Amino acid sequence: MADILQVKDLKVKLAEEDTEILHGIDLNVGEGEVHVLMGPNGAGKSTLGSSLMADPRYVITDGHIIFDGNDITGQSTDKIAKAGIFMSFQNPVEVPGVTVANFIRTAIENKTGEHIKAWDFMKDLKKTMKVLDMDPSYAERDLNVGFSGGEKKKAEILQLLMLRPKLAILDETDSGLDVDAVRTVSAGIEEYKKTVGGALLIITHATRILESLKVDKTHILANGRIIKDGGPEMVDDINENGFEKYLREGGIDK
Amino acid sequence: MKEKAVVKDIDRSMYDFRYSEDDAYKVDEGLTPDIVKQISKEKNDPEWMRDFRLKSLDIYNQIPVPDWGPSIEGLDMDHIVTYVRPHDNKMENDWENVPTDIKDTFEKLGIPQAERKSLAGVGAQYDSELVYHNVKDSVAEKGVVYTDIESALHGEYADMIKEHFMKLVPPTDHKFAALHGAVWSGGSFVYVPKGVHLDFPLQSYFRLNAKGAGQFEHTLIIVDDDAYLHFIEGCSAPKYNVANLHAGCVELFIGKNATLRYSTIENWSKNMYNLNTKRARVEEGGKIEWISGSFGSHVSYLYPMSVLSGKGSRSEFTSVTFAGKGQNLDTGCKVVHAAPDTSSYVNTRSISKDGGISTFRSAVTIAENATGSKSSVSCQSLMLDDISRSDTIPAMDIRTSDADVGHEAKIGRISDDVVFYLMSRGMSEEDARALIVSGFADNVGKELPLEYAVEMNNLIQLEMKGAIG
Amino acid sequence: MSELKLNVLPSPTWNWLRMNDTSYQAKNLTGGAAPKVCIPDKVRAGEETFPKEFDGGIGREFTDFLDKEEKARVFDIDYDMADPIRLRYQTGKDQAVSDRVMINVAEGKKGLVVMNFTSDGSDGQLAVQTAVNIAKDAELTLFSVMRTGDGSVLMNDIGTQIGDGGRFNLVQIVLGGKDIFLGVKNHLSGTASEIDMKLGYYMTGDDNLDVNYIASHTGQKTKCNIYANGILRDRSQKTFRGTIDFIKGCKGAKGDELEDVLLMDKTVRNKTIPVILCAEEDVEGNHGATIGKLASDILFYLESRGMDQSEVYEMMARARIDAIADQIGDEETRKLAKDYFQTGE
Repeated sequence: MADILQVKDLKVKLAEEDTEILHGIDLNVGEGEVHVLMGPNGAGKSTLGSSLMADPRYVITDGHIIFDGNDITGQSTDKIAKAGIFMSFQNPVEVPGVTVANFIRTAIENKTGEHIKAWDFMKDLKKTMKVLDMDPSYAERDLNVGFSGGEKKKAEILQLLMLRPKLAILDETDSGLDVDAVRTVSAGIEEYKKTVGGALLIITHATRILESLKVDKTHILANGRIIKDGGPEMVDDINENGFEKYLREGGIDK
Repeated sequence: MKEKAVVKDIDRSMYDFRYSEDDAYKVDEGLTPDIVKQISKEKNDPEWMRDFRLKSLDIYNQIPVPDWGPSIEGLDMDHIVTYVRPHDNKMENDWENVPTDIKDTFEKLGIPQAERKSLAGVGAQYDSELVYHNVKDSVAEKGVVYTDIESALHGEYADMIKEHFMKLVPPTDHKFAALHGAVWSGGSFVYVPKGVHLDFPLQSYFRLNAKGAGQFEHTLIIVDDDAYLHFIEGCSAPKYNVANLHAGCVELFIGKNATLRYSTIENWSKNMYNLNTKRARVEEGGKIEWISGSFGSHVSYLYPMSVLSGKGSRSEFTSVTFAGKGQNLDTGCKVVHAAPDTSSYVNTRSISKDGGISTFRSAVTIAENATGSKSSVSCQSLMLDDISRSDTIPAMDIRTSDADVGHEAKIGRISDDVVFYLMSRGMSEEDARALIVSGFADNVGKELPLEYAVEMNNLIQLEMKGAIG
Repeated sequence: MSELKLNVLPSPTWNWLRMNDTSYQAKNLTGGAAPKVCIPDKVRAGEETFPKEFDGGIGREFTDFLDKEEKARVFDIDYDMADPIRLRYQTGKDQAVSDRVMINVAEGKKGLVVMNFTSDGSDGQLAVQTAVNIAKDAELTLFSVMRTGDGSVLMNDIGTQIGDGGRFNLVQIVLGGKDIFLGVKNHLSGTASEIDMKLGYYMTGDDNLDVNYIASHTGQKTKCNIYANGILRDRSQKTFRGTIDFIKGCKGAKGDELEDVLLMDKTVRNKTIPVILCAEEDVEGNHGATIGKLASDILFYLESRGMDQSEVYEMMARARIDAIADQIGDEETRKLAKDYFQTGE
């Protein structure tokens, strides 16, 4: 299977200061595959996700990102998104003045360049919200404004389902959620696999969200390097025994 | 704990005592080229300064009085005495040699005591001339210069003075800047060399003793690159039934990555017209911190201005204004963002009581080239009764989209619930209200050295409880 | 030409700021404006002399400028209106026209008026002055959308008198305009009288918007709420003066003023002067303003959903105008505002 995403020797530093966070990451994700990126806090997991989206807080100093056959290194965030990468933010920002419905419709129209009829759009949106167990009234609320942690994560998955990207990066989408919310978010991710069939790169330090997903590959990131690639079995192992073994093997003192 | 020095328990008489001015040298009342020439001669000005004074007088005569702000009709310029030299005037660096009545004045105000305890240097001006100036040896060894401006005009810093004097506040700025240019006398010159960090503040104290006179001191401070200075200014005068005028001028030059904190507790008597001009220019990465408490004077026009001319330079302005009976205090600040990535922060409190009028007036300008700049202004006003007045007039002029400007203003009164709560704990209503007002003014209180915070709090207590002494 | 001092700030400040008023070279009037007027049957419409004591937001010189036109169209409202009075003004080529309007709402009744302004695309000048009189416990809602284009000049002045328990709701939307002067002065003299003013604007090109909103609180327990939300693009300029004036005796009064400005291009110019004047202890006044570009984290978030910067700004602009337009209870007027951004709905 062709790779939808190839990350080659990616080095990333903070934009504001000369601190390198990622020291040469190599990572390939095949079309439709589910990859899990795990690692201790501060390993650089979120930095990797953000760098793939060209977050202005980071600067890529070396290496390449190939997406869907094209080198997207250095491209602007909107172009990367339009090419088909979606990132679910760990802490989605509040956007006062723009309603959920208005925003998603505008985003889809900008992506496809085609006008959608309001009625068709609302029908589709409400249907998708139902999958996520979201109250329909959220459609008319300002995006993320006053949303609880769980509601923000659901709104992220709602966008994922509506925008239908080829690759979804989920950054700690399960953190801080209760059991019911995790179940709903998981249902949303399954829906994405089922209806869109895109690839997933799931950044997490927990494993609850993975229970109902068929994982293809697992990567462990520590100190800005991928120290181990493995199969789905690694998730269970980490779940039971933690990272320590892998950190030792990777020559990293905890 | 640090010992509470200077003024612990003050009452009005603390500031109201006055000494005879019989044997002082004065120029005639009013303002003419002859009077200006006479001042210039008395002060042994270099020629350029004499010309500068006369030119300023011309400008003064051309500029109209402001058509906004409090009335200054009570100020009769034909009868203000612009120059009063105390008797036996000679600048001293030992308090023992200062004439007795003048020394007593400053002792009552606690200046020599404070110098011994917590200051790196002190200057004291009495009417139009400095009577005392001293810097600790350890400070002088670092190359710090703190002297009266007249000496500096003739000494090794003469060129530096000429280069900076009224360059930041030109006489054309407004009518009273022109007046200052014509008749200025006294004040301080401070130079802090590159990289020198002064751990203790320098202080100037201005005392206007003579009746119907003006004080026009000039303060010029140059803080060179990477240096740090805290400068404190105090002012007071006894009350007379004729108008006195203070039209000082403060020019501050702050070098790259240098910081100057400029603190003022102003307690002029309530017959004073305080038309003072203060301005700072800040170079790249530098910072000006204004701390300002305005309690005295009959009328004040006071708006310290920060010109942020270097990339990443900053300005902080923290002030409290208390307008009581017979006072019209128009205070605030101006900030010009003239370079990229500059930031300004303004936090002010105004209190109006017994028919007093306080106005907060500000102007924040973000120039076309000041991209990435931020400004935050917060002003709060407290009305203590319904015969007083409090106005808030903040202006913002933003000329680039790459800016982030926030402003908030609040006006209100002391909540009855809070007073009731405090009274239920056994406080009198007067005490409760005084406590709340002190807390309201805490933005400035917590930025001042302890002695000055105590003095400020005493001034508030005094205003809140009426005349004790 | 007559030089007029427009939108005079009640409390002057430094002259060098050039915010105390705006000097404007107005073309001398060539005649009366001819708006399309649509009046429900139950409204009494007539003609009267415009009140001499009128005190509006644009100021004395403007009122004197219009005084040649003494007659005003009068609308007396003595029932709860469902369908509005509609006044449709259009600027015309080489015209400098004026109109004066008086709206009186009788005790306990609810009036609804829509005043819309468009342009024939030329360089006309239009001056309209409206005197609003709201009786005890009465209410007037006035919606206004201004789309006068980049050639025309509009001066739109309102002065209100509000009785005990009366209420004035105003929604004004400005969608471009070469020079637009808006002035509104509210005399909150009745006990517990209230006003609610909302302004939305979207200025592009070399547009210039100049606003003077005043709430003069003399009555006890009076309330005002002023909200302005707008977008500046290209080289457009805006001056917003908002004054809450608590006059001695207005015990229990409250005033809130909030302004949000989104600056989209480096060449815009925004002047804001929010004033609170206070001569009464028992009041509460608040003002807040946020002025600047879109926060970088919001921009990144929206870009990560596939919109480029100009699309993000377009969406934010539309959202802001929509939010104000949604306050308009009149379908036709709301559409006039919203259509500005829509393409082929």
